[in-house]
Amino acid sequence: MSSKRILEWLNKNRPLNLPTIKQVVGISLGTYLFTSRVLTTASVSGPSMAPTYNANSSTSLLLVDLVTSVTKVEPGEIVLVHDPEEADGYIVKRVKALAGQFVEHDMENPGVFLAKHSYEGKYSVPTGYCWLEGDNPGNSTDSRKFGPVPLGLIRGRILCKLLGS
Amino acid sequence: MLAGLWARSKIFLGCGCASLLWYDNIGYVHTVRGQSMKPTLNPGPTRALLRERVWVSKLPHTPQRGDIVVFRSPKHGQRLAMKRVSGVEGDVVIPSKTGKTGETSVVVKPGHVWVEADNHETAGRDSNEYGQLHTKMIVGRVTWLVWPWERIHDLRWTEAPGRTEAPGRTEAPGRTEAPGRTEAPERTEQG
Repeated sequence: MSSKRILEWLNKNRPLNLPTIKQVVGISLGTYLFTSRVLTTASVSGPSMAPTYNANSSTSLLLVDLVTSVTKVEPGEIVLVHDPEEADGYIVKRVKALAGQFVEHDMENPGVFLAKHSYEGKYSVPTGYCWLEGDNPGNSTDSRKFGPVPLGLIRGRILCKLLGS
Repeated sequence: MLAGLWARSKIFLGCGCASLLWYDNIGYVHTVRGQSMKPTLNPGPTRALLRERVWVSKLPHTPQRGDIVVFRSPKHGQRLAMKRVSGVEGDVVIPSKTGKTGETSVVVKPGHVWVEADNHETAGRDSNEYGQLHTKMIVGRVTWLVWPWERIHDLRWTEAPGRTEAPGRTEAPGRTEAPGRTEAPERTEQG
């Protein structure tokens, strides 16, 4: 049987409420486009964002906005970022400072990066970068270790928590 | 009336979605701007129609030494830049200018590459200025020069001009001795 005849047969014999092949393909591609460009979900685990996301023993599901341009990210927002220390994978952290703004650190515990790069207790975030920190500073690998992150690595903003505590 | 409108707009929506899918996953045409990749790629005359254009492939590909890549520039937010990869993960790179770190040699971290401009004379907004580039900043790989018509050619296995003794050369650790590497990384064939 030729593929055209198979398609015809499938279309003719589908139960009344099921979609056609064209519709299935259309919906799949549309969904793919939507989740890669508009909104998607991210499941997070780890203690670094407690108490905002208590994901240490369970995971939280977050809604991610992919549309907002990276240049419109504001301090205080939580973002989904490509892990700067790994080839793949994402991290979820809060933006603490943008380019031109200062990051201050406490003298006792500056972290690897600030210990080397701050001047008189302050560090100025360079153009094109942002400073990320987890809400749980005691248990978070963030800019205090790996330094500022280029804006281009930000995938999207977290809109809300869908599941999890 | 609404049903007719839907039927007609389906074609546009379909074409729009198809274009986006193509743009996201296959590739697009990129216009060369800036002097940093001369003489390989030249921004050329100001008349927009005559500018050199290249095909940027978005097919899955691990960056290799010698690839020309288009990436989001670290220093300039969303702007796209185009440079050549001169070092990949594990390579020891000697920056041509000591730049921000003042180190004489840099080991490229996993998930990063070292990019350099072909044009030695430009101030070079490349890794010499902003350090290693994370591979997720890379948007695509330049495969062909597609405009002007007379100069169409494959850019994939070209080399940066005059690189053998110039500063900024990369020493790849001997493939068999490098940790975790037993053979040369595969060169994936991409259109």
